[in-house]
Amino acid sequence: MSEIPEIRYTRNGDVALAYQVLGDGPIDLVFLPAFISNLEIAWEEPRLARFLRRLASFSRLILMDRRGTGLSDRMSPEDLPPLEVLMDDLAVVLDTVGSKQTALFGASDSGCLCAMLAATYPDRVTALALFAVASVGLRTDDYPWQWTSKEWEAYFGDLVAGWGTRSYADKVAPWFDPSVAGDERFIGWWARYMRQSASPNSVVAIERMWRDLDIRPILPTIRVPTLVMHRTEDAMEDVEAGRDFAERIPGSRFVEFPGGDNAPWLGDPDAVLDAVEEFVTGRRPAPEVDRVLATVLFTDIVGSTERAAALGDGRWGELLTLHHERVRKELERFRGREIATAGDGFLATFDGPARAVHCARAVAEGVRDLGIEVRAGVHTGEIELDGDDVRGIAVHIGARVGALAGPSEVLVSSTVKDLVAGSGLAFEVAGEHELKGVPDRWRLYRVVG
Amino acid sequence: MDLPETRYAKTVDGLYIAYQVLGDRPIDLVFSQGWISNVDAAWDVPAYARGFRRLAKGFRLITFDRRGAGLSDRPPAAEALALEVGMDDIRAVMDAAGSERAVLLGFEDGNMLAALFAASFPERVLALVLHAPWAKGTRTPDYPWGWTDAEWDEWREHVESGWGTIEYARYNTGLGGPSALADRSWPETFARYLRASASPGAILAIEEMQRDIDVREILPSVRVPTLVMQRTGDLLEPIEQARHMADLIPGAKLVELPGDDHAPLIGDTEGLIGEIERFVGSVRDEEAEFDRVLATVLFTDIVGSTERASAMGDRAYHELLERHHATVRAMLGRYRGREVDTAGDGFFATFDGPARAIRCASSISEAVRPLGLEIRAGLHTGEVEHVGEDVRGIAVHIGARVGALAGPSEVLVSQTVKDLVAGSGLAFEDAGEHELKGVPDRWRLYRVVA
Repeated sequence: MSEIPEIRYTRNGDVALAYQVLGDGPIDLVFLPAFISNLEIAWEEPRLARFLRRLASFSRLILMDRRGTGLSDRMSPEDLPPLEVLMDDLAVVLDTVGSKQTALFGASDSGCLCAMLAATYPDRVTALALFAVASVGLRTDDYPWQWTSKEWEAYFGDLVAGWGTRSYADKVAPWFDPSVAGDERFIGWWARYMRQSASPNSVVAIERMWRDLDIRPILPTIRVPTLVMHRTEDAMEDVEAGRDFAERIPGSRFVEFPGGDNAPWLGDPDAVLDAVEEFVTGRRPAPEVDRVLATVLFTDIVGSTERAAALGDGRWGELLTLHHERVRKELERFRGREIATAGDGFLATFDGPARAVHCARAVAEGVRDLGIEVRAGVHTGEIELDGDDVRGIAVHIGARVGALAGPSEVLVSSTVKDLVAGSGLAFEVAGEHELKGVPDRWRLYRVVG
Repeated sequence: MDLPETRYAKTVDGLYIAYQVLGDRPIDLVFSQGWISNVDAAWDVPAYARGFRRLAKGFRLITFDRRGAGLSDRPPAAEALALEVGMDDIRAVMDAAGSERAVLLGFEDGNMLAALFAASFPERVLALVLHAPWAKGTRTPDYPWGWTDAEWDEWREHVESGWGTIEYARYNTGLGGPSALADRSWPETFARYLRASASPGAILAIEEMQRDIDVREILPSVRVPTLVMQRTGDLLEPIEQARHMADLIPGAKLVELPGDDHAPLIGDTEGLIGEIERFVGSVRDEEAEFDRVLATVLFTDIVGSTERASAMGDRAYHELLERHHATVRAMLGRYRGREVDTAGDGFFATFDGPARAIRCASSISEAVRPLGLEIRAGLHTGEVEHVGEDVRGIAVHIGARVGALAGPSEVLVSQTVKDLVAGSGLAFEDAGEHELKGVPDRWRLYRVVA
């Protein structure tokens, strides 16, 4: 049992509502998942837990189990409150946690609740982010994307017959969230999540409320900045319903994501999270960095400016092409990954430092018959992978080491020399150096023989 | 750990009740734990998981969440929580789990639910086991063990202000199962279990219902074997109350156990479950006795069957046997005998009248002679046990031994049979005293004469 945020209760009239607060970001953000929830069991699914923690990384995140689900008081199908009451529940939770200005992020039916709150209390909602929403529950002539009442009844029948069983979870997964279809562990969690979030009749109660929904009249009154998101292949809520939803809200933005998962936290959640973060904070999120250990190799042609001037642009261009071919051939041979060519030089990374050194020597040898000489530097350290680019202090060190090398010389940092001990490579001391912009003094070695 | 799958049973008033079945022992035990529970989340509470596994060593354990709690539906109105309606939860779960008849183990208001069910459907209850039961929620002059309004209000206050918190879990356990507090992680584990088992609204509805309970008038009509248990140091309910309960239920057995824990699966569960097993064992022995009926057993056998078979060849002998069987069955039909078994060439049948059994034996003996067969037949009357289709008991052994002593076309009977049919017009002659292998005493046998 991992540590989860404390669960507290507040009340709207007689009805107890369970909520959680986490994170200490500068804005308040509510996330309401679709349909059913359980503030306790949600944290047992790593994908959902990660999604929630990322939302909490840029906000004070407020979570609740809606009336009728999870740890909050339940509803019976005989005794359904108007939707306004569920919206009030959300306002009560916000009051309880002292949130006066809140960004709302709601999925599917919960998105409609968020939209209602935004329409009703525009002064307390700063932004409205909606995912996989539809504004109407039942099919009508002018709303073709929903089920007929017959289809709803068939669905209710399936729901009570299979609720909370693995076989039901397994059966509906391809339809709800295709990316987890057949994922045994997920299906087991999901069946448990269903059981712990609602009993068979209470889930029918929830679904019956949404079947009877039609919030189209209020959508044009929303004055809060609104982002409507939808996955193109969503089989639960048609993407056209999402587009229609957005079109009814003045000035809203509609964003379509690839994939078919109905839950925003499945499939490619980062695309959704990035969009939400940027929307509610106004900042493009810093991409997540991936630090790996790597060896960087820098090469550069010695005296290139002079040679270019002497040869003329045309001939120098031909020479450069030959040089690049030779370098790439050696990179391939020693399994180096070309990151960039900066003018006449190369930046490449290797997962083995000895191969990087061998590659550097081969390049230095291989280009000499072209009448040019290269200098090369090698360093090993943790670098940040950012797409096709690499970053980090280790990259800077590698560049500085390379710049200190003489013609046809391969210089390496002491880190590299230590790492390749036993490889048969021989080095001689090349003195201690200051590397510009890098702290400390660095002992460098020259590759010999 | 492989956990049982949670399933739902549907009650007559349309509610879904979550239940689990653990183990495959022949006797079912339904744990009607009342108050609140969560059949899934119970497995995250080590004391409960241990208790369930221990119970499942002796029984096929059926656990369920009563309406209004855990994974079961919340009833639409407060009245639907009442025991009179709520006891259908037990019926629905037993039907869904394929349990014809079960031991009911009760706790908290699950005791009253079980007692009500036992009074209403005695044929479905093998035994009723009530742990720390009470019959009435509130204190009145004629029920001094109930809680006063002040006590109920204080309890409610704790629930309202602290439900689901670690502090509340500690407070509740301090009263209901203090020995659990030896485990430092218990309050957190239990708080989580309480949250999973009931929301604040759900627990308050249940507490209100409990407060109004009064089943004193029902208890005297409980007719099933009942065990009342309680630990003498129980901090929530005085032991005098359990004694009173045992007095109200006719023939109830009272067992007072050492310890302070109110909750049955906290503290010394081994002693408690041992008591349940012993009680159910004694009920079963008694029931076996109830099922003993007086019957006359008849054993027949073909004389020299091995020789005949080898002389005739398999196929011819097989045809002969079929004709023999058809003849015997015709006679059994005529004399209202019940065929229990055919052992090779012989028959074992029972009769409710000994004279008819004798006439049947003589008729068979005559009827098979035209087939070129002779049989020996033996009869005895005594108490037998019916176990499914089978009939058992020492009387069966005696009947078999008597039959083995008969000669060709002879019908031998025990003295018992002869004495019972006095006045029937049947005649006997003394066939001497015999030892019957494996049966004590010497037995005087008689030969039926035409």
